[in-house]
Amino acid sequence: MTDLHAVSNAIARPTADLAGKYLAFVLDHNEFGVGILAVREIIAAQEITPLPQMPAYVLGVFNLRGRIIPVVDLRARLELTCAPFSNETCIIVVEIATPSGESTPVGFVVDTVREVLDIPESSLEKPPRWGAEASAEWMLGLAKIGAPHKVVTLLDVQVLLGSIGTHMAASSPARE
Amino acid sequence: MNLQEASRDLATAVVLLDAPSREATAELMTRLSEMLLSLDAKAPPAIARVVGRALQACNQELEAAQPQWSRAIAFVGEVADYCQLLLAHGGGSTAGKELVEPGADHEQQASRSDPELLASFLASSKQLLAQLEHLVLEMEAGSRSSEQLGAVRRIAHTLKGETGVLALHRAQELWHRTEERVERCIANNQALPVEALLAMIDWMGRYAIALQQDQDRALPPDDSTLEAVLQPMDSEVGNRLIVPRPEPVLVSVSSPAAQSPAAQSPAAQSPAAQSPAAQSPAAQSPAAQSPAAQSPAAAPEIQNEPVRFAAESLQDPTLPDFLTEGRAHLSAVEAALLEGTDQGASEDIIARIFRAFHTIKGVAAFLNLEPIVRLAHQTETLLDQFRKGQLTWSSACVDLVLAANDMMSRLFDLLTGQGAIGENELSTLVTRLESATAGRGLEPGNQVSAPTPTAGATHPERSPQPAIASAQAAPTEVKECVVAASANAEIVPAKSESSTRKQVKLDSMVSVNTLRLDALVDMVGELVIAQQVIAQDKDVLRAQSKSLQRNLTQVAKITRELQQSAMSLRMVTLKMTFQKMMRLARDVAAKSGKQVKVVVSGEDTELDRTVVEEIGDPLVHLIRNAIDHGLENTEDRLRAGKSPTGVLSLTAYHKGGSIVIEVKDDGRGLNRARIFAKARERGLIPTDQRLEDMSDEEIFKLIFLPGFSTAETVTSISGRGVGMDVVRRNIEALRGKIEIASVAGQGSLFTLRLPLTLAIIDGMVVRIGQRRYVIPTLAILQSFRPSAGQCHEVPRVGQMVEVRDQLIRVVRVDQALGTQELSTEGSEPVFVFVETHTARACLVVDEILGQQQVVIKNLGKAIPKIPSISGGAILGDGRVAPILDIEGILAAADSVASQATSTVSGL
Repeated sequence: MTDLHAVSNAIARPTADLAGKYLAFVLDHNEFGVGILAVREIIAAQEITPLPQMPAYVLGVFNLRGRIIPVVDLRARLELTCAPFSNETCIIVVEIATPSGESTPVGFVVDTVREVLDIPESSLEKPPRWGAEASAEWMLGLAKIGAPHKVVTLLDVQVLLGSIGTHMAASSPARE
Repeated sequence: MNLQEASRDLATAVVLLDAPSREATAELMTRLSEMLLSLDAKAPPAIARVVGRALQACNQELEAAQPQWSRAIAFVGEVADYCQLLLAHGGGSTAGKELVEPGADHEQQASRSDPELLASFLASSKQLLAQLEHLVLEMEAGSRSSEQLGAVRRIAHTLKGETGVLALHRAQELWHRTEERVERCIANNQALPVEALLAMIDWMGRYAIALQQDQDRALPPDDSTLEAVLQPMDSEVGNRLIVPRPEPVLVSVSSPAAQSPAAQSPAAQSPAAQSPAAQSPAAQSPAAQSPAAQSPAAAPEIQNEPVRFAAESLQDPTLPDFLTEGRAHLSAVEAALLEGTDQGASEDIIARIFRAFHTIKGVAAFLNLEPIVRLAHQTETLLDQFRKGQLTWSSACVDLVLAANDMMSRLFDLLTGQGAIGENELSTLVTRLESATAGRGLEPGNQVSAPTPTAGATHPERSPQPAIASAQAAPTEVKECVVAASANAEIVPAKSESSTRKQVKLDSMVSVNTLRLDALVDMVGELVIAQQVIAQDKDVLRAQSKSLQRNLTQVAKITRELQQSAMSLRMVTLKMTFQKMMRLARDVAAKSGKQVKVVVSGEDTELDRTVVEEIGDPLVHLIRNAIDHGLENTEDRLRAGKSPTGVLSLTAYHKGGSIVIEVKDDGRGLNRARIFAKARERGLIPTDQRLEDMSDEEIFKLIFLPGFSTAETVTSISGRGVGMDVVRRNIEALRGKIEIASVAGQGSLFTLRLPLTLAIIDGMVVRIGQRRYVIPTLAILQSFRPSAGQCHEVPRVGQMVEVRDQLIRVVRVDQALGTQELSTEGSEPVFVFVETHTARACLVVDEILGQQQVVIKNLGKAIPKIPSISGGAILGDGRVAPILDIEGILAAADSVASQATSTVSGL
């Protein structure tokens, strides 16, 4: 089902809609981008309070000026190898929509933040439909940037971060 | 000509027309205007509406570049048919429902497009309904004064008017009938139709909620039951108890036979009623006419007496609010007037001014400030003409509205005891407004100084629309006179008193959007946290400077005070809630046929708005139970040597940082044996448990279990076994607690202990391994370091500890949460003895770090609810600590334990 969903998503989204500004960041030597409009702020790594009974990729919560905000380890979420925090580690806070349609902030941890890219339609590619099947679900598309092309993977934060509840239900309540 | 004749003539005229033409349309318009003039207070309001629409439709064609006469005539035909049908069915009560009002959809849409007006109505209607309910209950309890009667009538009238403005036709019609009924009861010196009024209040409440949720599609709720209660007006005459106290007001003069409210009032001689309207109610009740018309009561004569207000209005505690708001409205009006230039004002400006006067009128009517209502009403009527585009804006009307504005301002001053206004002055202005409404007197210099008959004889060929307004206004006018008369009558003895007590204390008030208030409280919460972060900063703690410490202490003090005053902004009293409960108690008592006296105290106790909103449901259940199950019926009470009337008391007070609400009855009390038997029958307690071994507390707690009910019969009111379970859940959702005390034969006492606010709790901060958690202090019975002899290892159960001579289960929080963090070696653990409604347990923690008030925050909406965590708190160092949900922790511990057992047995 996820396959069909991903495919139909990829077909339904013409690349023209994807052109625009993206915040680029690095995870495990790969470059990724998220739509700049969703980004609320970028802050240095904070002390994070772990929460019980969460999927493994949820690091916990932290205090952002009096508001409690959940944080996701994006490396874990994308099933990349995990790494300890460094001086450059950042939390990017984005707004996502809850099932009831409200907007709510979620943070995710990245190795380092690069720049804001203005990506024209011409350098956009649809996500490949072969290979890692389900991955296409959170992948908006690929962008070729720079003179010797480097590829930036554009992420759908809604899909990536909006499904903590479903992953929690799947995991055992008394998980270690 | 009476209404029936007029409508028949209209129908005939439509049929007999030669050809659709300008002349034919004008002819119809004349007939329509005649019909409007023959309307009176008794006529179904629908008639005025449809006829008004028909006139409008005709006029549209008259003004159109390419008129389609046939379209207008067809519509008039429809209207004529409708009117005839409606009148044939007698007042349109039953038939009005099936008949489709011509053009209703169109108008409905048009007028509902003002959400702001609707919102302000919804807000005020809630208050009005509550007030009305209060009055009705008071009067049912035996008090009956002319002020109360006047207030009931006034509120019904206001609601009728407001629903009319908003095109809520069904509601308008029902209120119209309610008002009519109330007036008749007053005239006949009968008891008020309490059931009908309460049913109406409930209906309107439901409708208001529906409108609030979806203003465009909300349909009036089912009103078939209302039909039944509003209907039997005549049958009740005579057989309901007649209140012996005579009415001191003028209306008591009229004979009981008088049926038409319009005809009874002294206003029968007022200019408006001298129009053909006065003759027509005879259509339905000819007998009404003669005694009333000769009623000796004189029309309120306009003398140059100073304008006065009823003395009791001046003492109303909400008067300062009204003045503050009213003044704000007036300055808004002035600003809007000056913004709109002489050439014309935008629709928006007119709408703003209209709304301001409309609001003033509503509240003033509520407070019985008759002169203000009169002025505001007339100004509003005039403005409505501009709003509908039936009159054009000119500099003369700016002057006129400004004059009204100034007069209003002076009336406000008068309320605070400053200045004086002659009755002449006010009446002259009102008259000017009236004639302007009728389309005259707007030319500068043409000021009408004496009261003239309202536009009874407006020339339809010149401007038919104004005629609608004035004719529609006529019945209203008549009733307002009644109010005026009674108010005047009241004032006379109070004169000397009111002159000494002219000065109304005026606290200045500002009304603020609750969202802003919440934001402020949030910000202050953050400030408190930030202040704590600084105070606990390592560098600060190390600093030697005395002045720094002093300044920090000062900041801490200011922050705390700021937090307190921010919290107090959200506090509201329990008055409204308690009032609702009194009403409920009355209804339940009536249904179960018991005599109940409700005693309420402490309704001025304040608590957080959010808590007040949530407390209603649990109280409803408790009160229902108390009356239905707790109190005995009259025979049983007499047999038990008690007074036949049961007493239910509802008390609220503050106690140690929380609020306590008590629901107490002097009924039969909880029956231990029966609860025990029922619980066993339902399988809620183990079969080997013996009644003698259980304490009262344990027994009483059983009634909070889901599926428990001792009532032998399930009544329509209670006894389905969900009630107390719901109560407990609701109270716990509010982070409160409920306790029961009961003595057999003497009654029961339910005590609710609630936090003052939902945002802050007292918490104990504990450390488990490297993590910190907050345990709500309300759940904690005690905390202790167990001695070696206290702990016991029980096979298949796990660790238990002996506390207060009981064996209590030990729960490892870390295991329940699945974290395995407890540092088992090196340090001695601390036990925190906690209690929920069903269980007690000792939680094992490494260390108790301290006790503090914490602000409860949610963990972010992206994270779904975790059963064992109720939220997060930001501690002094700025980091987050989860707040434990004790019930969730115990449930999680159960599932861990059962998993462990099943693993063991599997091996």
